[in-house]
Amino acid sequence: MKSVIVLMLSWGCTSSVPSDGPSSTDTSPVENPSIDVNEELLGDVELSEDTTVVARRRVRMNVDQLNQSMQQITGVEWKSGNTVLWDRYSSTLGVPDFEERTSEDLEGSVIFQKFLQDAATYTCNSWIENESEDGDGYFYVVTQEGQTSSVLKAHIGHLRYLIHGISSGEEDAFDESVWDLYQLVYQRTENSVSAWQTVCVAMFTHPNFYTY
Amino acid sequence: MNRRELFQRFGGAVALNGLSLSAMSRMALANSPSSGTLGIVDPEQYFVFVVFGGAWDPMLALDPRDPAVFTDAVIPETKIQTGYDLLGIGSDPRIQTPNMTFGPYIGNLSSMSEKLVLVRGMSMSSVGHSSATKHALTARVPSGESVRGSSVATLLSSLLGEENEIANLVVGTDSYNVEHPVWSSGFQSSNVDDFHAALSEGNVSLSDSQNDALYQFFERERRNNTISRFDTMYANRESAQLLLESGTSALFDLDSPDLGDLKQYFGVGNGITGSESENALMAYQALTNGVSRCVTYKAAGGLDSHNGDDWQTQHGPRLQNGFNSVAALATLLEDTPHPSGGNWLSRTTIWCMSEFQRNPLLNNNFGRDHYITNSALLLGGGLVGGRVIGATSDQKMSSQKVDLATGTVDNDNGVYISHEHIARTLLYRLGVEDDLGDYREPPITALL
Repeated sequence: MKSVIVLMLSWGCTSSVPSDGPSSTDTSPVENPSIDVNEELLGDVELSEDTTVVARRRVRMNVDQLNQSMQQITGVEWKSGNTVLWDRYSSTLGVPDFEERTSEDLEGSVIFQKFLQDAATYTCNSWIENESEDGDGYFYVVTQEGQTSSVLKAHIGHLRYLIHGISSGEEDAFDESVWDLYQLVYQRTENSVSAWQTVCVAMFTHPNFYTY
Repeated sequence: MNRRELFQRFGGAVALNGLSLSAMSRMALANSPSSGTLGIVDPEQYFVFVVFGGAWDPMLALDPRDPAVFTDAVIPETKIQTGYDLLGIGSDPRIQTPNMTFGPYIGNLSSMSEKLVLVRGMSMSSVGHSSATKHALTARVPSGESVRGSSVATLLSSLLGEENEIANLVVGTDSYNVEHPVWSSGFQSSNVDDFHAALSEGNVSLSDSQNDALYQFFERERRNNTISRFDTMYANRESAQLLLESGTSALFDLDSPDLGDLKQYFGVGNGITGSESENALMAYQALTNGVSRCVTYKAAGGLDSHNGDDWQTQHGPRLQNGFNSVAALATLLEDTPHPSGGNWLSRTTIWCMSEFQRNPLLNNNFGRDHYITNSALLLGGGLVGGRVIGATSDQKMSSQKVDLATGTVDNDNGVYISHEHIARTLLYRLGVEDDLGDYREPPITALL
């Protein structure tokens, strides 16, 4: 009986093999037909040494990056009492909570601009206040009366490098515009601290700071 | 001209690129996909989108079932389980009105049934919260997690113009702008306190001289800018500053005694309500003080009641608080005369939505899982109320096809309806017949 079943099974297997295919017992390798390859040179390609990426879409920093960057530069964290205000407004600023939101909203929306301005104003005021009182402070010299324009312009360049990471060129249009800003505030307030506060806020609320 | 003069010249609203506001509005219309055939019937129209987050249970409010018919004995056939016996509020807690029947947690809206339109048996595209919420807000099925269109509120705001300080106010939920002007983007915050903070001076502020100088500096930067993405950022920066000077913040200061009566009316801080009462108060203030034309607010969250305890004790009260906020808002809008005639509710269409609804069958935890059908509630804006459009079936509460002209079920010749149909209906009610939202569905003509 067992031999009959084996016979039936083997018949069932072989009967389904296409007639033009290899037989179930033929296991020897088959050589594929060769393919002619034309090895003649078609042309030369010059590899460019310039591999610099010219441009890419700029992305806004997320809230954590902003907080860390501003602290790194100024040593000041945006707070009200003991409350870190970046944390206080994190939900409105689109920071993910990984319950309802898993990715951060990185638009430069109206409400983002408002809170960035608030953060910059608080941070700049505290930074300049801290640094201008100390004889070795970063803003000490430039907040003293009677500084030459070259000293002040050099400080604008330093600030720009510090905040935007961009070195000023000669007759740099951005630096000139910031210099105009400084002068305008100084003329109106006759207060160098106010002028530097405004310059600092301008730098931190400029897209060159918060996008990369 | 400095920024303050610019601001005063345009009556406190935002102007871009030196064009007058009405010119900007005309441009928005002219640049829309199908210009030339627009004819907004009455520009004095307003919209409120009310979001119930987490997926609501139809049995508890908008689409209940008779527990005497849908008994436990017939669950194997119907796949419908009212679960009312688990709630401890009576064996048949449904609320009957002359026009429609509600579940037990419809709240004060039950007394306004003659003004309400219920849409039942809507067909959804997803039972994933994120993508389905995007579908609900944009009335277009998203591509995965990416929206394929703007929020309906954004589209309507872009059509109604930018004369208002915040064309499109959004609190507690998301907003999308894919193709419309920047000024029609949702002004998003997570709660009223943050919204108020966004309109108020920070804890340290600059002087007027400093702000004026900054304005001039950024104007120069904008003129010299070559990066298109920065244009939007400069415009938004300017809008934020102008809003700060508009004096609007006092309207939303929940700590102000000036809002005492409104807070009491909406139940803010009464120990029963949550943020939804603050959000409804904000919507009323934004609309009636000319701040916004479109407001979207979250009326309830945490409705994702898979767990039995949560479904039995929290889901209903959260729904009820949300619907009560809508009832309070609608009632006060109705009691407030509109300067152009009628009352504010007659000019304000309110659309309550959730991303999908919960399963008619309780799960093993006696909670409810996700389900692919949905409901919606509309009122105001001149809609003839007291009507129910569509219905779910008596087996599995499935979607059914609807005759759009009558609103009745017609499984032979009707169509399945979804958010797209409602959005298109709102456009029609504005007088816009062209499919500006690319919804690719006709309006529910029974509502026109």
